[in-house]
Amino acid sequence: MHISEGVLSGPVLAGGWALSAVGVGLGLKRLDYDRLMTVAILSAAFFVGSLIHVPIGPVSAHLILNGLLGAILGPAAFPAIAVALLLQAVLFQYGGLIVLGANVFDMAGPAVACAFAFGPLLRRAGKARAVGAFCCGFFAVLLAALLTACALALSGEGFVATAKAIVVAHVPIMLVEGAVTAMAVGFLAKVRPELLVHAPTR
Amino acid sequence: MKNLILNRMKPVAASLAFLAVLAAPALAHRVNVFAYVEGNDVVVECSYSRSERVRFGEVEVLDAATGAALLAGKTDEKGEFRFPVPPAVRAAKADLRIVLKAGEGHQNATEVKAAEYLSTAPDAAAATTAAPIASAPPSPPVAPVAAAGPVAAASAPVQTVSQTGGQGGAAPALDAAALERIVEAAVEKKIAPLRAILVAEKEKGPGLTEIVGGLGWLVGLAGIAAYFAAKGKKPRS
Repeated sequence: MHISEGVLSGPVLAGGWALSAVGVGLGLKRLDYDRLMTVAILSAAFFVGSLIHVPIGPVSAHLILNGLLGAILGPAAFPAIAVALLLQAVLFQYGGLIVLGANVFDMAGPAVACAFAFGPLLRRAGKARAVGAFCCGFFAVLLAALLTACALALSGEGFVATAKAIVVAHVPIMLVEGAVTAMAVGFLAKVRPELLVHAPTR
Repeated sequence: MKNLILNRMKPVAASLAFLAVLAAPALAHRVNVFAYVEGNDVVVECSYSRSERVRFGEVEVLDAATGAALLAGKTDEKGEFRFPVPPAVRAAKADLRIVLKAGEGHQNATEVKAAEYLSTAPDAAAATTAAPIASAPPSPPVAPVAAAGPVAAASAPVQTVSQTGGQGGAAPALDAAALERIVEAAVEKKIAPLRAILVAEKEKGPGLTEIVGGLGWLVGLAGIAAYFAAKGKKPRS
């Protein structure tokens, strides 16, 4: 879901940068010094996650992990994803530097939105938390796909067809990410609850 | 309980999704576009990272200097698009800029310098446009003697050219144009594997160096942030 250089129109690119700058700023403001390493580690997970291809029949799609970052980091997922995408653009030539703003917002916006939306569920224990984490992983990818389609639609591609193509191709990834997020959050809540931004209330 | 049902549903949902995905274009990080000159044609090979071909991707050919659109087309099943260099472009010695639009935000571009297609002698190229060789590069006429055997289809144009030299001779006299074409075909055949290596090299995903380098950057950035955060906090004494 990295949008390539030269596809988006000027206003969309500028809008992406503006929204991303605000998101990164707010994320950094809310970032606690003690959680710095958690953010860096998850940023690394996001950076490498896109290299892990999940074979689904003849096609393969890669993990995105934005929901996982949202569920664990909350607003701090924004800077984490921004840095990881910057490194992917520079080192892997995925996306590009000019479209970075739009790509960051497409990925990190849904992550943080899901973290807020499912926060109450994540704070509870047991099944509620698992469901919340699954939804976080699932909907973060879905929203990211829709935002990507939106950005493309604003730059001239038809929205419905593009959105359909992107969403349909990502349905398996949504399910996989939901499961991964549910497992990761469940595991962390058991062994290292202090790592979670939505620390479970006991 | 909810989870249990969800887990049971997963394979069903996944297989449904899989069926739907078959029809949808593959989504990847980036697309690669690689162009080279073969005879009078420019061949454009398009693939996603992970060597999946770009089927029916839109290809636009522009004048690299002016940006004027010259021609457009779609890649075939194998992610290939082939077009003859237009005579007007050849006359103007213009560099070609080839833009691939694979849809869903995937786009990439490459350039073919004028020198690349000009080196394939315009005189010979003019001749090949008339002869069917241009459309059948995989089985080029190696030599008139050998062409009489399995390469029946390709033998026709060669014979028409070598008529002047007399048939059946062990070493028929060839005119310069025909000889040039044969040499070109032979060279083409020899460098085909090299070209395949080049394409594969370009399609390769990020290597260990890039991955480890990126992780190093993240550790370094976290270190810098930690340093400044710690500086702000006065040590408790």
